[in-house]
Order: sequence, then C-alpha cells, then structure tokens
Amino acid sequence: MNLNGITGQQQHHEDLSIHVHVIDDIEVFELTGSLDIATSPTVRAALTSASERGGHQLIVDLTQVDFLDSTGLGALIGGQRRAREFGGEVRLVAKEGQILRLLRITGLLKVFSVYPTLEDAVKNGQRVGDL
Amino acid sequence: MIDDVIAEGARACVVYRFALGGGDGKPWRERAGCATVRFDERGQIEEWREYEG
Repeated sequence: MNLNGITGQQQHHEDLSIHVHVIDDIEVFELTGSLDIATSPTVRAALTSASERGGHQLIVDLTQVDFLDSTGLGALIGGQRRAREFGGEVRLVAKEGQILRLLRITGLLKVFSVYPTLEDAVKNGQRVGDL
Repeated sequence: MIDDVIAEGARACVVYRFALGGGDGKPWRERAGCATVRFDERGQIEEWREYEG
C-alpha cells in the first residue's frame, strides 16, 4: 500500500482506515480502528513517505483509534524519528482514555507533542499535560 | 533487534523486537516493545520504562 502523494483520500488496511488531508500545510493522518502488528507497517510507511516528500509538520489523529499495541507505538516513534531527520515533527491528537493513558505510562509524552483536539494540534495550542 | 532510537538530552526512546520461545522444539515467537530511558549525569541508565503489549 502506497500513500505517496495521496491527500484527501481514504486508505483501508485490515482493521485500520487512514484518512489523509492537509490543513494549513500540515499533513493530517486520521486513523480509525486498530493500530497493531497488522496495520502499523502501513502507518510507518505513510509517515516516512510524508517526511521524505517534505512534509515538515505531520499530525496523527488517534482519537478514533480503539487499540494501540507496542508495534503501533513503534510505528509512531519511527515516524517521529524520520520526521526529525527531515527537520520536522509528528504531533499526536489523543483524547482522555486508553490511548492517552498508554502514552502517559510509557513516557511518550516526552517524545511527542500531544494535543486534545485536532484544532489544538494544527494551531500548536494547548497540549496534554504529563500527569 | 533495535528498530528505532530517538535520543534527546538525557532521555531516549527505543523501539525493539525480541523473540520468546521456543522450548520443546516449538518455534520462537517475535514480539515488539518500546521503552523510554532516562540517563543520570554519569550516562548510566536511571530509568527504563518499557511496554511490550
């Protein structure tokens, strides 16, 4: 599955769909479903591809993700590393719940800027605190 | 096997794979994990927080 150059379109893989669109020159990946061992390679490839195309700021919206395992976290971390290599950053959107709790307990709020809403992420506004 | 490392000052984030198994001729099973690590002023690991779910 190749997301090269795709914006405003929907991609489906197993139990995950990825809707990619652009807001204020920021590429936004809205994920719906499970980010796990089956689907994380697609997300990793999509983020890497976006960074290599010159997308400096990327947003991954996790508010519709219902399951996230260590391979999914690995995909997000790999995307962050790649983005930083190109001078960019991956921002996450996560609401209060299991996904945000996982980001907290793993210490990943130190690795990602996490925002409660997509609007906050686009505007680089209010971040989720590291409680 | 280490897949990714993000290092930032005294902190790092590591993504890795490892194998569990096998015993009694059973095949090894690959698992994935990630950990956030904090180092002390001597460069030694002060905190290792990992997730393998």
